[in-house]
Amino acid sequence: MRLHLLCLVPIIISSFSIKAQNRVKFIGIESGASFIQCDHVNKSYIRGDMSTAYYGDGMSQGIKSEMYKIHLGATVEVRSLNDKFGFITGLRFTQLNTSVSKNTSPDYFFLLYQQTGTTTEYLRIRKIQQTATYAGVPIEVRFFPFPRLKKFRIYFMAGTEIGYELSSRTSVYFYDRTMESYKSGVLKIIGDHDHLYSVFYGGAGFRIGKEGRPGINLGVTAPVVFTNQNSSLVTPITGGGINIHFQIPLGTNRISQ
Amino acid sequence: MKNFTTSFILLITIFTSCSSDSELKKSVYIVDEQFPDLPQYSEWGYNTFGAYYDRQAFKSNDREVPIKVINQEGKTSFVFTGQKGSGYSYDNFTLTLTITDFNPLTYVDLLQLNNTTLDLTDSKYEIVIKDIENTYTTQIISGQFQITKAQNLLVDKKAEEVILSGKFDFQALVEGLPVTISNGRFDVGVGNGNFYKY
Repeated sequence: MRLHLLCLVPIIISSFSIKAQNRVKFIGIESGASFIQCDHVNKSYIRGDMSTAYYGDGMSQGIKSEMYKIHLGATVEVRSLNDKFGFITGLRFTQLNTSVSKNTSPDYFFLLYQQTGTTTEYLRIRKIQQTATYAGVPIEVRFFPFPRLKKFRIYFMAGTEIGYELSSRTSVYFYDRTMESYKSGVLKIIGDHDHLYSVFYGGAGFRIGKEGRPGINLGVTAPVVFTNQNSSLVTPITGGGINIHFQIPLGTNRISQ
Repeated sequence: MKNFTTSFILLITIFTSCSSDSELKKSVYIVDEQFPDLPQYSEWGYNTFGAYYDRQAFKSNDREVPIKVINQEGKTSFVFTGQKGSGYSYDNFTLTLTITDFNPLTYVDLLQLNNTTLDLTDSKYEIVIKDIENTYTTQIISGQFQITKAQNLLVDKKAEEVILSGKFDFQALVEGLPVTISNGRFDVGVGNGNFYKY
Protein backbone atom coordinates (compact mmCIF):
# COMPACT_ATOMS: atom_id res chain seq x y z
CA MET A 1 0.00 0.00 0.00
CA ARG A 2 2.83 2.39 0.90
CA LEU A 3 4.42 1.70 -2.46
CA HIS A 4 1.52 2.76 -4.59
CA LEU A 5 1.02 5.82 -2.41
CA LEU A 6 4.65 6.80 -2.94
CA CYS A 7 4.20 6.43 -6.68
CA LEU A 8 1.28 8.79 -6.66
CA VAL A 9 2.90 11.50 -4.53
CA PRO A 10 4.89 13.14 -7.40
CA ILE A 11 1.79 13.19 -9.55
CA ILE A 12 -0.24 14.89 -6.84
CA ILE A 13 2.48 17.42 -6.13
CA SER A 14 2.81 18.25 -9.80
CA SER A 15 -0.96 18.73 -9.99
CA PHE A 16 -0.74 21.60 -7.57
CA SER A 17 2.44 23.12 -8.91
CA ILE A 18 3.04 26.71 -9.90
CA LYS A 19 1.57 26.18 -13.30
CA ALA A 20 -1.64 24.80 -11.86
CA GLN A 21 -3.43 28.03 -12.66
CA ASN A 22 -3.08 27.16 -16.34
CA ARG A 23 -4.78 23.83 -15.97
CA VAL A 24 -8.39 22.76 -16.25
CA LYS A 25 -9.90 22.23 -12.79
CA PHE A 26 -13.17 20.77 -11.65
CA ILE A 27 -14.99 20.28 -8.42
CA GLY A 28 -17.58 17.57 -8.20
CA ILE A 29 -19.63 15.10 -6.28
CA GLU A 30 -19.55 11.39 -6.86
CA SER A 31 -21.37 8.28 -5.85
CA GLY A 32 -21.06 4.61 -6.63
CA ALA A 33 -21.28 1.02 -5.55
CA SER A 34 -19.05 -2.03 -5.83
CA PHE A 35 -19.78 -5.69 -5.31
CA ILE A 36 -16.95 -7.83 -4.00
CA GLN A 37 -16.51 -11.54 -4.49
CA CYS A 38 -15.48 -13.25 -1.25
CA ASP A 39 -13.65 -16.44 -0.43
CA HIS A 40 -15.39 -19.53 1.01
CA VAL A 41 -16.43 -19.03 4.60
CA ASN A 42 -13.70 -20.70 6.61
CA LYS A 43 -14.14 -19.69 10.20
CA SER A 44 -13.27 -21.91 13.11
CA TYR A 45 -16.51 -20.94 14.84
CA ILE A 46 -18.84 -21.78 11.93
CA ARG A 47 -19.79 -25.42 11.36
CA GLY A 48 -18.99 -26.52 7.84
CA ASP A 49 -21.72 -27.35 5.39
CA MET A 50 -20.51 -29.56 2.61
CA SER A 51 -21.78 -32.87 1.31
CA THR A 52 -19.60 -35.93 0.75
CA ALA A 53 -20.04 -35.42 -2.98
CA TYR A 54 -18.04 -32.22 -2.84
CA TYR A 55 -14.32 -32.81 -2.73
CA GLY A 56 -13.15 -29.22 -2.66
CA ASP A 57 -10.83 -27.53 -0.26
CA GLY A 58 -13.24 -25.01 1.21
CA MET A 59 -15.19 -25.30 4.38
CA SER A 60 -18.61 -24.43 3.17
CA GLN A 61 -20.86 -24.87 0.20
CA GLY A 62 -24.20 -23.64 1.47
CA ILE A 63 -22.98 -20.73 3.54
CA LYS A 64 -22.54 -17.60 1.48
CA SER A 65 -20.48 -14.55 2.18
CA GLU A 66 -21.33 -11.20 0.65
CA MET A 67 -19.63 -7.86 0.54
CA TYR A 68 -20.54 -4.61 -1.15
CA LYS A 69 -19.63 -1.00 -0.67
CA ILE A 70 -21.32 2.25 -1.50
CA HIS A 71 -19.73 5.65 -1.45
CA LEU A 72 -20.47 9.34 -1.67
CA GLY A 73 -17.83 12.01 -1.98
CA ALA A 74 -16.69 15.47 -2.96
CA THR A 75 -13.80 15.77 -5.37
CA VAL A 76 -11.34 18.14 -6.98
CA GLU A 77 -9.81 17.33 -10.36
CA VAL A 78 -6.81 19.02 -11.89
CA ARG A 79 -5.88 18.24 -15.49
CA SER A 80 -2.34 17.98 -16.80
CA LEU A 81 -1.01 20.69 -19.10
CA ASN A 82 -1.57 18.55 -22.17
CA ASP A 83 -5.08 17.72 -20.94
CA LYS A 84 -4.42 13.97 -21.19
CA PHE A 85 -4.35 13.25 -17.45
CA GLY A 86 -6.72 14.15 -14.66
CA PHE A 87 -5.64 14.00 -11.03
CA ILE A 88 -8.46 13.60 -8.54
CA THR A 89 -8.61 13.76 -4.78
CA GLY A 90 -11.18 14.77 -2.21
CA LEU A 91 -13.16 13.34 0.66
CA ARG A 92 -15.10 10.13 0.28
CA PHE A 93 -17.52 8.46 2.71
CA THR A 94 -17.66 4.72 2.17
CA GLN A 95 -20.04 2.27 3.72
CA LEU A 96 -18.87 -1.32 3.68
CA ASN A 97 -21.49 -4.02 4.15
CA THR A 98 -20.53 -7.64 4.77
CA SER A 99 -22.67 -10.59 5.70
CA VAL A 100 -22.63 -14.33 6.19
CA SER A 101 -25.83 -16.28 5.68
CA LYS A 102 -27.11 -19.56 4.26
CA ASN A 103 -28.20 -19.85 0.66
CA THR A 104 -29.72 -23.30 0.93
CA SER A 105 -32.55 -24.64 3.02
CA PRO A 106 -32.77 -24.54 6.01
CA ASP A 107 -31.81 -20.91 6.24
CA TYR A 108 -29.51 -21.11 9.23
CA PHE A 109 -26.01 -22.24 10.09
CA PHE A 110 -24.41 -23.40 13.32
CA LEU A 111 -22.09 -21.18 15.28
CA LEU A 112 -19.89 -22.72 17.98
CA TYR A 113 -20.77 -20.66 21.03
CA GLN A 114 -18.72 -22.36 23.72
CA GLN A 115 -17.10 -25.59 24.83
CA THR A 116 -16.87 -26.34 28.54
CA GLY A 117 -15.84 -29.77 29.73
CA THR A 118 -17.91 -32.30 27.80
CA THR A 119 -20.57 -29.77 26.79
CA THR A 120 -20.52 -28.02 23.45
CA GLU A 121 -23.04 -25.34 22.57
CA TYR A 122 -24.12 -24.31 19.09
CA LEU A 123 -26.37 -21.43 18.19
CA ARG A 124 -28.49 -21.42 15.05
CA ILE A 125 -27.87 -18.20 13.17
CA ARG A 126 -29.73 -16.95 10.10
CA LYS A 127 -27.38 -14.11 9.28
CA ILE A 128 -24.54 -12.02 10.64
CA GLN A 129 -24.18 -8.61 9.09
CA GLN A 130 -21.50 -5.98 9.58
CA THR A 131 -21.82 -2.39 8.44
CA ALA A 132 -18.90 0.00 8.75
CA THR A 133 -18.64 3.61 7.62
CA TYR A 134 -15.31 5.17 6.71
CA ALA A 135 -14.11 8.66 5.88
CA GLY A 136 -11.36 8.41 3.33
CA VAL A 137 -9.20 10.23 0.84
CA PRO A 138 -9.20 8.92 -2.73
CA ILE A 139 -6.25 9.51 -5.00
CA GLU A 140 -7.13 8.82 -8.60
CA VAL A 141 -5.46 9.32 -11.94
CA ARG A 142 -7.48 9.47 -15.13
CA PHE A 143 -6.00 9.06 -18.56
CA PHE A 144 -7.78 10.47 -21.59
CA PRO A 145 -6.22 8.64 -24.56
CA PHE A 146 -8.29 10.20 -27.31
CA PRO A 147 -8.77 13.81 -28.34
CA ARG A 148 -11.82 15.59 -27.10
CA LEU A 149 -14.97 15.11 -29.06
CA LYS A 150 -17.69 17.67 -28.82
CA LYS A 151 -19.53 16.23 -25.83
CA PHE A 152 -17.96 12.84 -25.19
CA ARG A 153 -14.62 11.67 -23.93
CA ILE A 154 -13.37 8.22 -22.88
CA TYR A 155 -11.00 7.78 -19.96
CA PHE A 156 -9.16 5.04 -18.07
CA MET A 157 -8.42 5.34 -14.38
CA ALA A 158 -6.43 3.90 -11.52
CA GLY A 159 -6.75 4.91 -7.95
CA THR A 160 -6.41 4.13 -4.32
CA GLU A 161 -8.32 5.13 -1.25
CA ILE A 162 -7.43 5.14 2.41
CA GLY A 163 -10.09 5.58 5.03
CA TYR A 164 -10.60 5.51 8.75
CA GLU A 165 -13.61 3.96 10.39
CA LEU A 166 -16.18 6.40 11.75
CA SER A 167 -18.68 3.83 12.97
CA SER A 168 -19.49 0.15 12.73
CA ARG A 169 -22.37 -2.08 13.66
CA THR A 170 -22.77 -5.86 13.73
CA SER A 171 -26.24 -7.41 13.62
CA VAL A 172 -26.88 -11.03 14.52
CA TYR A 173 -30.10 -12.65 13.32
CA PHE A 174 -30.85 -15.70 15.45
CA TYR A 175 -33.03 -18.56 14.22
CA ASP A 176 -34.59 -18.68 17.68
CA ARG A 177 -35.27 -15.11 18.71
CA THR A 178 -35.24 -16.05 22.38
CA MET A 179 -31.46 -16.44 21.99
CA GLU A 180 -31.00 -12.67 21.45
CA SER A 181 -29.39 -12.42 24.89
CA TYR A 182 -26.38 -14.28 23.45
CA LYS A 183 -25.60 -11.51 21.00
CA SER A 184 -22.76 -9.99 23.02
CA GLY A 185 -21.13 -13.42 23.30
CA VAL A 186 -21.44 -13.95 19.55
CA LEU A 187 -19.85 -10.56 18.88
CA LYS A 188 -16.86 -11.53 21.04
CA ILE A 189 -16.49 -14.75 19.03
CA ILE A 190 -16.61 -12.91 15.69
CA GLY A 191 -13.91 -10.54 16.90
CA ASP A 192 -12.86 -7.12 15.83
CA HIS A 193 -11.80 -5.95 12.37
CA ASP A 194 -9.28 -3.51 10.98
CA HIS A 195 -10.40 0.06 11.54
CA LEU A 196 -8.41 1.28 8.57
CA TYR A 197 -9.70 0.77 5.08
CA SER A 198 -7.59 0.69 1.98
CA VAL A 199 -8.46 -0.27 -1.53
CA PHE A 200 -6.87 -0.20 -4.95
CA TYR A 201 -8.93 0.00 -8.10
CA GLY A 202 -8.83 0.48 -11.83
CA GLY A 203 -11.50 1.16 -14.37
CA ALA A 204 -12.76 3.02 -17.39
CA GLY A 205 -15.56 5.38 -18.25
CA PHE A 206 -16.69 8.29 -20.30
CA ARG A 207 -17.45 11.88 -19.69
CA ILE A 208 -20.56 13.50 -21.13
CA GLY A 209 -20.54 17.25 -21.47
CA LYS A 210 -18.56 19.94 -23.21
CA GLU A 211 -15.16 20.74 -21.78
CA GLY A 212 -15.28 23.80 -19.63
CA ARG A 213 -18.91 23.11 -18.85
CA PRO A 214 -20.58 20.92 -16.21
CA GLY A 215 -20.41 17.25 -17.08
CA ILE A 216 -21.20 13.77 -15.90
CA ASN A 217 -18.66 10.94 -15.75
CA LEU A 218 -20.00 7.41 -15.87
CA GLY A 219 -17.42 4.78 -14.99
CA VAL A 220 -16.95 1.14 -14.30
CA THR A 221 -14.47 0.24 -11.57
CA ALA A 222 -12.81 -3.14 -11.91
CA PRO A 223 -10.95 -4.70 -10.40
CA VAL A 224 -11.47 -3.46 -6.85
CA VAL A 225 -8.87 -5.00 -4.60
CA PHE A 226 -8.79 -4.58 -0.84
CA THR A 227 -5.32 -4.28 0.58
CA ASN A 228 -6.22 -5.00 4.19
CA GLN A 229 -8.72 -7.15 6.12
CA ASN A 230 -11.73 -4.88 6.53
CA SER A 231 -14.10 -7.49 7.83
CA SER A 232 -13.85 -10.08 10.56
CA LEU A 233 -16.55 -12.07 8.75
CA VAL A 234 -15.43 -12.48 5.16
CA THR A 235 -12.28 -12.51 3.07
CA PRO A 236 -12.66 -10.33 -0.01
CA ILE A 237 -11.06 -11.45 -3.27
CA THR A 238 -11.90 -8.86 -5.92
CA GLY A 239 -14.89 -7.10 -7.35
CA GLY A 240 -16.26 -4.41 -9.59
CA GLY A 241 -18.73 -1.60 -9.57
CA ILE A 242 -20.05 1.57 -11.08
CA ASN A 243 -19.36 5.21 -10.39
CA ILE A 244 -21.25 8.40 -11.25
CA HIS A 245 -19.36 11.66 -10.99
CA PHE A 246 -20.89 15.07 -11.55
CA GLN A 247 -18.38 17.87 -12.13
CA ILE A 248 -18.48 21.59 -12.64
CA PRO A 249 -15.53 23.63 -13.89
CA LEU A 250 -13.65 25.82 -11.48
CA GLY A 251 -12.35 29.26 -12.35
CA THR A 252 -11.50 30.37 -15.85
CA ASN A 253 -10.39 26.96 -17.08
CA ARG A 254 -7.82 28.05 -19.57
CA ILE A 255 -6.48 25.06 -21.41
CA SER A 256 -2.82 24.97 -22.20
CA GLN A 257 -2.30 23.76 -25.75
CA MET B 1 -64.20 -33.45 13.89
CA LYS B 2 -63.10 -31.20 16.73
CA ASN B 3 -61.56 -34.17 18.54
CA PHE B 4 -59.74 -35.20 15.38
CA THR B 5 -58.31 -31.69 14.93
CA THR B 6 -57.19 -31.55 18.58
CA SER B 7 -55.56 -34.99 18.29
CA PHE B 8 -53.84 -33.99 15.07
CA ILE B 9 -52.43 -30.79 16.57
CA LEU B 10 -51.27 -32.76 19.65
CA LEU B 11 -49.58 -35.35 17.44
CA ILE B 12 -47.78 -32.68 15.42
CA THR B 13 -46.68 -30.93 18.62
CA ILE B 14 -45.26 -34.16 20.06
CA PHE B 15 -43.55 -34.97 16.78
CA THR B 16 -41.88 -31.60 16.39
CA SER B 17 -40.82 -31.38 20.03
CA CYS B 18 -39.10 -34.77 19.80
CA SER B 19 -37.45 -34.31 16.44
CA SER B 20 -33.79 -33.34 16.41
CA ASP B 21 -32.17 -31.00 13.95
CA SER B 22 -31.89 -32.82 10.62
CA GLU B 23 -28.97 -30.62 9.59
CA LEU B 24 -26.86 -32.30 12.26
CA LYS B 25 -27.49 -35.69 10.68
CA LYS B 26 -25.90 -34.67 7.39
CA SER B 27 -22.29 -35.50 6.65
CA VAL B 28 -19.83 -32.67 6.24
CA TYR B 29 -16.90 -34.09 4.34
CA ILE B 30 -13.70 -32.08 4.39
CA VAL B 31 -10.78 -33.71 2.61
CA ASP B 32 -7.66 -34.39 4.65
CA GLU B 33 -4.78 -32.69 2.84
CA GLN B 34 -2.26 -35.26 4.04
CA PHE B 35 -4.46 -38.27 3.26
CA PRO B 36 -6.73 -37.12 0.41
CA ASP B 37 -8.72 -40.38 0.44
CA LEU B 38 -9.93 -39.72 3.96
CA PRO B 39 -11.98 -37.05 5.69
CA GLN B 40 -10.11 -34.57 7.83
CA TYR B 41 -10.11 -35.25 11.57
CA SER B 42 -12.64 -32.98 13.25
CA GLU B 43 -14.60 -32.64 16.48
CA TRP B 44 -17.73 -30.95 15.12
CA GLY B 45 -20.00 -33.97 14.72
CA TYR B 46 -19.49 -33.96 10.94
CA ASN B 47 -20.72 -37.57 10.68
CA THR B 48 -17.70 -38.82 8.84
CA PHE B 49 -15.10 -41.48 9.45
CA GLY B 50 -12.30 -42.99 7.46
CA ALA B 51 -9.31 -45.30 7.62
CA TYR B 52 -7.01 -47.20 5.33
CA TYR B 53 -7.79 -50.90 5.08
CA ASP B 54 -4.35 -51.96 3.91
CA ARG B 55 -4.08 -49.70 0.84
CA GLN B 56 -7.78 -49.07 0.24
CA ALA B 57 -9.75 -46.27 1.85
CA PHE B 58 -12.70 -47.29 4.01
CA LYS B 59 -14.88 -44.28 4.74
CA SER B 60 -18.35 -42.93 5.36
CA ASN B 61 -20.64 -41.84 2.53
CA ASP B 62 -23.90 -40.00 2.06
CA ARG B 63 -26.06 -43.10 1.66
CA GLU B 64 -25.43 -45.02 4.86
CA VAL B 65 -25.85 -43.92 8.46
CA PRO B 66 -22.17 -43.59 9.45
CA ILE B 67 -22.64 -44.92 12.97
CA LYS B 68 -25.21 -46.88 14.91
CA VAL B 69 -24.71 -47.59 18.59
CA ILE B 70 -26.46 -50.75 19.75
CA ASN B 71 -26.72 -51.94 23.34
CA GLN B 72 -27.88 -55.51 23.59
CA GLU B 73 -27.35 -58.28 26.10
CA GLY B 74 -24.71 -56.45 28.12
CA LYS B 75 -22.65 -55.46 25.10
CA THR B 76 -22.44 -52.18 23.23
CA SER B 77 -21.56 -52.15 19.55
CA PHE B 78 -20.38 -49.18 17.52
CA VAL B 79 -21.29 -49.99 13.91
CA PHE B 80 -19.41 -47.87 11.35
CA THR B 81 -20.98 -48.28 7.92
CA GLY B 82 -19.60 -46.86 4.70
CA GLN B 83 -17.68 -47.95 1.65
CA LYS B 84 -14.33 -49.49 0.83
CA GLY B 85 -12.61 -48.29 -2.32
CA SER B 86 -13.13 -45.01 -4.10
CA GLY B 87 -14.36 -43.56 -7.36
CA TYR B 88 -16.76 -45.88 -9.18
CA SER B 89 -15.21 -49.00 -7.69
CA TYR B 90 -16.36 -49.38 -4.11
CA ASP B 91 -18.21 -51.87 -1.95
CA ASN B 92 -20.39 -51.43 1.11
CA PHE B 93 -18.32 -52.12 4.16
CA THR B 94 -18.99 -52.24 7.91
CA LEU B 95 -16.63 -52.23 10.87
CA THR B 96 -18.13 -53.01 14.27
CA LEU B 97 -16.40 -52.44 17.59
CA THR B 98 -18.11 -54.25 20.45
CA ILE B 99 -17.39 -53.47 24.10
CA THR B 100 -18.53 -55.80 26.85
CA ASP B 101 -19.41 -54.44 30.31
CA PHE B 102 -20.43 -51.06 28.94
CA ASN B 103 -24.16 -50.51 29.18
CA PRO B 104 -25.35 -47.00 28.45
CA LEU B 105 -29.00 -46.42 29.27
CA THR B 106 -29.34 -43.57 26.79
CA TYR B 107 -27.04 -41.98 24.23
CA VAL B 108 -26.09 -39.36 26.86
CA ASP B 109 -24.25 -42.07 28.80
CA LEU B 110 -21.75 -42.23 25.94
CA LEU B 111 -20.16 -39.16 27.56
CA GLN B 112 -18.46 -41.63 29.92
CA LEU B 113 -16.19 -42.48 27.00
CA ASN B 114 -14.66 -39.00 26.90
CA ASN B 115 -10.86 -39.19 26.69
CA THR B 116 -10.76 -42.99 26.66
CA THR B 117 -8.26 -45.24 24.95
CA LEU B 118 -9.20 -48.85 24.36
CA ASP B 119 -6.43 -51.41 24.00
CA LEU B 120 -7.98 -53.61 21.35
CA THR B 121 -5.92 -56.62 22.32
CA ASP B 122 -7.99 -56.81 25.53
CA SER B 123 -10.57 -59.59 25.38
CA LYS B 124 -13.30 -57.09 26.37
CA TYR B 125 -13.19 -55.71 22.85
CA GLU B 126 -14.14 -57.36 19.62
CA ILE B 127 -13.92 -56.12 16.04
CA VAL B 128 -16.09 -57.56 13.29
CA ILE B 129 -15.72 -56.68 9.63
CA LYS B 130 -18.49 -57.14 7.11
CA ASP B 131 -18.36 -56.69 3.35
CA ILE B 132 -21.13 -57.32 0.81
CA GLU B 133 -20.65 -61.08 0.97
CA ASN B 134 -19.27 -62.12 4.34
CA THR B 135 -18.88 -61.26 7.99
CA TYR B 136 -15.46 -61.77 9.56
CA THR B 137 -14.56 -61.90 13.23
CA THR B 138 -11.05 -60.58 13.55
CA GLN B 139 -8.23 -61.59 15.81
CA ILE B 140 -6.51 -58.42 16.95
CA ILE B 141 -2.72 -58.47 16.77
CA SER B 142 -2.17 -54.96 18.11
CA GLY B 143 -3.77 -51.55 18.14
CA GLN B 144 -5.99 -49.13 19.95
CA PHE B 145 -9.22 -47.21 19.60
CA GLN B 146 -9.11 -43.74 21.06
CA ILE B 147 -12.18 -41.66 21.85
CA THR B 148 -10.52 -38.29 22.15
CA LYS B 149 -13.66 -36.36 22.84
CA ALA B 150 -17.24 -37.14 23.80
CA GLN B 151 -19.32 -33.99 23.78
CA ASN B 152 -22.87 -33.33 24.82
CA LEU B 153 -24.13 -31.07 22.04
CA LEU B 154 -26.64 -28.37 22.89
CA VAL B 155 -28.24 -26.39 20.08
CA ASP B 156 -29.98 -23.21 21.22
CA LYS B 157 -29.71 -24.61 24.77
CA LYS B 158 -31.51 -27.86 23.89
CA ALA B 159 -29.72 -31.23 24.03
CA GLU B 160 -29.44 -32.72 20.54
CA GLU B 161 -26.85 -35.50 20.49
CA VAL B 162 -23.52 -36.73 21.74
CA ILE B 163 -20.53 -36.20 19.45
CA LEU B 164 -17.86 -38.87 19.52
CA SER B 165 -14.52 -37.99 17.94
CA GLY B 166 -11.34 -39.97 17.91
CA LYS B 167 -8.73 -42.05 16.13
CA PHE B 168 -7.94 -45.73 15.68
CA ASP B 169 -5.22 -47.97 14.30
CA PHE B 170 -4.86 -51.71 14.54
CA GLN B 171 -3.56 -54.87 12.94
CA ALA B 172 -5.68 -57.98 12.85
CA LEU B 173 -5.99 -61.39 11.34
CA VAL B 174 -8.94 -61.72 8.96
CA GLU B 175 -9.55 -65.24 7.70
CA GLY B 176 -6.02 -66.02 8.88
CA LEU B 177 -4.46 -63.21 6.85
CA PRO B 178 -3.04 -60.10 8.49
CA VAL B 179 -4.51 -56.70 7.59
CA THR B 180 -3.64 -53.22 8.77
CA ILE B 181 -6.24 -50.57 9.55
CA SER B 182 -4.35 -47.28 9.71
CA ASN B 183 -4.95 -43.54 10.07
CA GLY B 184 -8.48 -44.19 11.32
CA ARG B 185 -10.48 -41.16 12.41
CA PHE B 186 -14.12 -40.53 13.22
CA ASP B 187 -16.37 -37.61 14.13
CA VAL B 188 -19.95 -38.79 14.52
CA GLY B 189 -23.12 -37.73 16.25
CA VAL B 190 -25.21 -40.19 18.25
CA GLY B 191 -28.74 -39.27 19.24
CA ASN B 192 -32.13 -40.88 19.62
CA GLY B 193 -32.14 -41.69 15.91
CA ASN B 194 -29.09 -43.96 15.90
CA PHE B 195 -28.88 -45.25 19.48
CA TYR B 196 -30.61 -48.57 20.08
CA LYS B 197 -31.16 -50.50 23.30
CA TYR B 198 -33.10 -53.73 23.32
